[in-house]
Amino acid sequence: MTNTAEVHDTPADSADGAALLTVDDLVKTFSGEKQRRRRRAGAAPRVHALAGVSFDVRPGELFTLLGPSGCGKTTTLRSIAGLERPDDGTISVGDRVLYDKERGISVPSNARRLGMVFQSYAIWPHMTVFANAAFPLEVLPRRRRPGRAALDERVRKVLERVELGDYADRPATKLSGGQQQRLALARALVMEPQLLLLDEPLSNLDAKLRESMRFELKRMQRELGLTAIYVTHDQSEALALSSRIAVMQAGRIVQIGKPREVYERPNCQFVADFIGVTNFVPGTVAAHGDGRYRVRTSDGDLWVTSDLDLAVGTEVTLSVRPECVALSLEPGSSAVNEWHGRVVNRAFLGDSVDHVVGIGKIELRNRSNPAQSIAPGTDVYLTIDPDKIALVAAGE
Amino acid sequence: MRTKSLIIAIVLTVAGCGGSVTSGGGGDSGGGERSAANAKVYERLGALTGSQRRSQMIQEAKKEGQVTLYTSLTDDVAGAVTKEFTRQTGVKVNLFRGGSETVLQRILQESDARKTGNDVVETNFLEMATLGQRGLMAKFQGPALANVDKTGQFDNWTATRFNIMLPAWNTKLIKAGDEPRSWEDLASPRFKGKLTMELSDDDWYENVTKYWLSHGKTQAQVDQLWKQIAANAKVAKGHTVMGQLLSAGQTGVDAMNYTYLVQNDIDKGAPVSYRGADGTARTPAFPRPNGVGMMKDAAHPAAAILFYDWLLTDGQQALVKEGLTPSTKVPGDNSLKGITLVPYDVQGLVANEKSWAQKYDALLRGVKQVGGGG
Amino acid sequence: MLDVRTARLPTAARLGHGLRQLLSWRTVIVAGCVLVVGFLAVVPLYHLVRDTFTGEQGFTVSAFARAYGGDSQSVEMLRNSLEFAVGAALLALVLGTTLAYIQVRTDTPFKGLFFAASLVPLIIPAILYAAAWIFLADPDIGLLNGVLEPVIGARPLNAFSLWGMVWVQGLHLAPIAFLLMVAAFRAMDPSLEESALMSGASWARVLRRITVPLLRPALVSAVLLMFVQSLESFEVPGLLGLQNGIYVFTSRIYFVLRSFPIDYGMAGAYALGLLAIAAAGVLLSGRLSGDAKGFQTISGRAFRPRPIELGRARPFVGAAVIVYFTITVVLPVGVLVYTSLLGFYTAPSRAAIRSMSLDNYREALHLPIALTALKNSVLLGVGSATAVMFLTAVVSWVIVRTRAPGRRLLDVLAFSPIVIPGLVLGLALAFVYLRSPLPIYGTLWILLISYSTRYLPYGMRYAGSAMTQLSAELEESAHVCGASWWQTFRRVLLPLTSTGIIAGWIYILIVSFRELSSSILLYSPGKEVLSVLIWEQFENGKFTLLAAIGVLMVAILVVLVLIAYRIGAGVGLKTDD
Repeated sequence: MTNTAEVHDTPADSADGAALLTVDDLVKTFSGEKQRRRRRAGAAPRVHALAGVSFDVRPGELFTLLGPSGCGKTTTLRSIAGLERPDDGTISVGDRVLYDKERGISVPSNARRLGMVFQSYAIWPHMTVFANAAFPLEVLPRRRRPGRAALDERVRKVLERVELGDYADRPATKLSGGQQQRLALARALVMEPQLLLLDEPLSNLDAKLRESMRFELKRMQRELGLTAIYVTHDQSEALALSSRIAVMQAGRIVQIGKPREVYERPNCQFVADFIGVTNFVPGTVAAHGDGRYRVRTSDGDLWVTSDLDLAVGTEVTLSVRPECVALSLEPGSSAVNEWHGRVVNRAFLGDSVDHVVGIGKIELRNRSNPAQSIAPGTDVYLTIDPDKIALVAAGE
Repeated sequence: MRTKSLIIAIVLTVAGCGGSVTSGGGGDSGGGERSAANAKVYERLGALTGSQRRSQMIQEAKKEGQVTLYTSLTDDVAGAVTKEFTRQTGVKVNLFRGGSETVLQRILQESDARKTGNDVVETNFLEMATLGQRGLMAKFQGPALANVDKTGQFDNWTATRFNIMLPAWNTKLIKAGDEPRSWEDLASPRFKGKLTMELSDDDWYENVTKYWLSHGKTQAQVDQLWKQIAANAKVAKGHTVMGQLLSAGQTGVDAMNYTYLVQNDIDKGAPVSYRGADGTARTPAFPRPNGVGMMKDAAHPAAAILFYDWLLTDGQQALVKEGLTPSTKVPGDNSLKGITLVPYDVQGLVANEKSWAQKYDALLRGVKQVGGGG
Repeated sequence: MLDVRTARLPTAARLGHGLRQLLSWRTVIVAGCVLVVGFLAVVPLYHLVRDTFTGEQGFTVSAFARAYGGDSQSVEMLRNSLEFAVGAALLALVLGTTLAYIQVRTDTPFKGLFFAASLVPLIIPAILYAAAWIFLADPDIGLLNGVLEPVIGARPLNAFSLWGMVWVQGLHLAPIAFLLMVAAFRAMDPSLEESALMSGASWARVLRRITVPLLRPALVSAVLLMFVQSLESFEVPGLLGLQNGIYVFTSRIYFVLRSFPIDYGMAGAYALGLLAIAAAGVLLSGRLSGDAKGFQTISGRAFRPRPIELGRARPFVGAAVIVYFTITVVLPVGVLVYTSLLGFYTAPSRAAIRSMSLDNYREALHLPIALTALKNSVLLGVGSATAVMFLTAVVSWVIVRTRAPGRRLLDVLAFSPIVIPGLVLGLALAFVYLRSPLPIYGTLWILLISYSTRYLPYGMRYAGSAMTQLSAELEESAHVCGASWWQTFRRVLLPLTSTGIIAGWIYILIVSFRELSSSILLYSPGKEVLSVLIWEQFENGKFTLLAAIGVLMVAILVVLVLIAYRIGAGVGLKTDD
């Protein structure tokens, strides 16, 4: 690994020295075969797979690209892996430039030294478990290839780590789904890559296994200090696992933040809607001061905490998570954001009870502890903490 | 990957550097020093007579060491004949065997590329005539020619053997006396559905047609006869298959098969024949000649003329031993016993084979004939 | 290996790097294979086109008028040809696919018989196979008719009919379908079917809605191959069709190529007609196969092929296998063995049995060139099978995996040799290599080139359908793991497509033994091959000797193929049978 050491000696080129991965302004136009010829002709309709994607990943982070299918998250990941060639932009890991349109650099994927777990696992069915995991070491250039004993040792160790130590000599085809998933992970880890790329690695598992693998993955990532990019369309997976999440839509990143930020402070209706369940309340800014806005809605005013800079009269949409709507049969002491309404509907979900409460024109969904279950038709008071309301741009 | 289309374009260009495979070499391909030197050898050795002729030829041929023969003789015959040649002369033979068209194509291609590979050729008359027209073969002189009938002597080649064309029949299915006794007989209703014709026998078709026309039949009568024959017949591909099916009793009569093929089956005990019960064949038989020629550009000219000379003399015996019909009188040859030969129309076929082939093809396919004769 | 240091160097250095990349293994191998395949295919095609359009006064299309106009009955012949080819291809497809399914997916008895049933018809030269069926199903002398007559009071079988032709050709082709489909079934994840069964669909419905659609690329590929091969084959229509005037296109080509002087233009016009049909087929099959990605059934999720238990149906399936084996192998080979013991063919009788001897075998072994021919045939068979499968594996990778422009053209190009008459191919090769400074003409190399050209289309179908079924992620994962293109190709791609590649290899090995039409033009003294030997016995009327050679050839090839399977089993996906 002398090469890596040398590379580390060179002064950092990136503006953010702390970033391990820097992706800057990636553009990729999806061209069907026939569109290829028209690429230069501006008039032709083009589909942007990626329309300027930029983000940094810091060492030790599990960074998630989240979005619906076709949003560009997989294309981004594959561009980092070198399996797709973007039309424009730069990608660098540490000080190594992997792709730079301007400078004409495009490192082939087999020289990028990244680990990747594919959605289908891509376990080679003609090899044993051991051979699958040993492959990345066996194909190293001779001068960097470990000796037989060292190779054996490293493969055994990584198989132990994913609890497949006892299965080393089995054909890969004799593994269960979860075991195959772990083998794919072992294969990606055996190289000790700087960066691990995970393409919906859990989507092929059944619900129960997915849940447990989720924590397993998180544990391993933390223990090994791995830096990973995780692609998923499953928002609960993203929230549970990620250090930070980038939510993508139509080839763009619409929001980057810690899971909590993205969940609690979505910056647009798309993010709020895509992550979790939410209530949207349209309104107009009526007054502001002290980091708070008073927003006028059809059924009364709501105070909202926000650091946005909005003029009075701006049309806005408020996003209120159901669990942030508190219900009570008696009016509360504080009059801030307290509305009076009536329970329209109720659903028991096991670990929670959902109520739908009607207030004039607006209906709000609430999520309560199962201990609180209120029959439809009952009059209730509902309060919303101004800090828990997200102010997002109106319309769209 | 964009270079791929470029690559394909290059491939196309590279392949385009060739010429046409069909372009004839013209008469000039024999030109050159070797051809001139060979002419002298051929003339010198050809002029020799008596015992000195053979011994001188053998002496010079042995110096050359070998002779390359392209022939359409089949494996067993060619093998036996060349073995006998080597035994008698001590000169090794390199053998290429193929159908007569193949032999022709190979020689034409090699001479076009100025890489003549053979010294002598032995094949069917039509191909020999073409090679003669192209001027690829040298003229042979020698007393051996006197043994060959005039009809078997051509400018640059000489007949070595004949394929005899006659009807053949299964003796279990066709009662003695019911067999065809003339070509006209094939049109008889008694052979309805019992007759088989071969797909490529256009030369037979030509010969029978001309024979009829020259023996008092009108074109209309001839056309009518062919129509009836075709109506009687099924079509088969390959004289061998025809022979096998005849032996097996699948068909009663082969409109025409080569006597040596039928004889081969007779010798193995198959119930087939081409001669009547009295041992004679009444139908006039056409002998199709096969001939030998030596190349102007031969690498081994002395060996070439030796082989030519030998094949028309001692070699004839070897052909008889393999059951073929020789072009000269050979003691012990019974292949023509009881058979009446009539001339085979070499000239007409050399000039016009193609149009006869088309007519024959049309006849078999039941296409309405327009005109005819020719 | 490019890193940040080289990336910062000026343009000149980057050019150097570009050059290095240009000369990488991937580029060299891929470009090399594409060039070789292109060259192999273009040479005969170029000569064909040229001969077709060149007349005495330069460019002309009169060859087409000669070929299709006038009283050529081209419409009727086209109809006969199509009926024959479609019928035979469908029959072969149904038989081959059913057999492959039973073999791969069920716990059928007699699995060993499949091997013989799938190979023996391939090995027997078509001319012998058709002849064997004449002896079996001739309306007058057919043995089967003889057996059936006392039972049903009629002689129902007639080999000399369109149905007879379809039957014989279909049986003769079924092994192609079998070999292609076995590879496809082995590669397909059975859970795709199982999940459908679990969701309550009936077995027949699963077959129709899941299995068949998933196998569509392989099915289409097989049908195309067999259809075009039937169109251009002559033995069966020649032996069975002509009797009752069922003329097909190849009857015309045969006729054109043997009348003198040969009208190459006319032969070319027919061949180009066939090529047009074949090209339409290739494009259509591309369309029918649809988005290749949807059919990648070998994914990275490993599967365990579990045989379906036939249960009560097992004896019936077993019986059906026996019947099939009897019809395709026992009967024709039996007739050949019987014939090979006789002096001339005659229906079985006491006299015939008394006359039996091993003379033909003795004669076959004493033919002067028998050993040379055998050695050369084995060399050429192994050589051309290996060369073709390697080339086509790389080229189908280009076609299936890349978006290289011109890859469709390459596909059609590599398919074109199938319609080029062997004689035309032979002439074209002789023309090129007689003028080449390389010592190729007059050696075994020219035969190797000829065989490789002729069997390119088959290699393409076998390699192509194996490649199509392989999920791209299996390669991508190897790439990301640091494997170079060549490492990926050798260690992941080849082993995973090995079932298909080996099937193709075996097919080419076998059929190369019977290649005649170009061999006969291109072989040289001392470089004889078995097919030439066989042809000579045929021309010479030694049919019974020919039968003996045929029987020996079946024996030799079965041994060769067994060895190949044994070696191949060590390479690819392990199978349980």
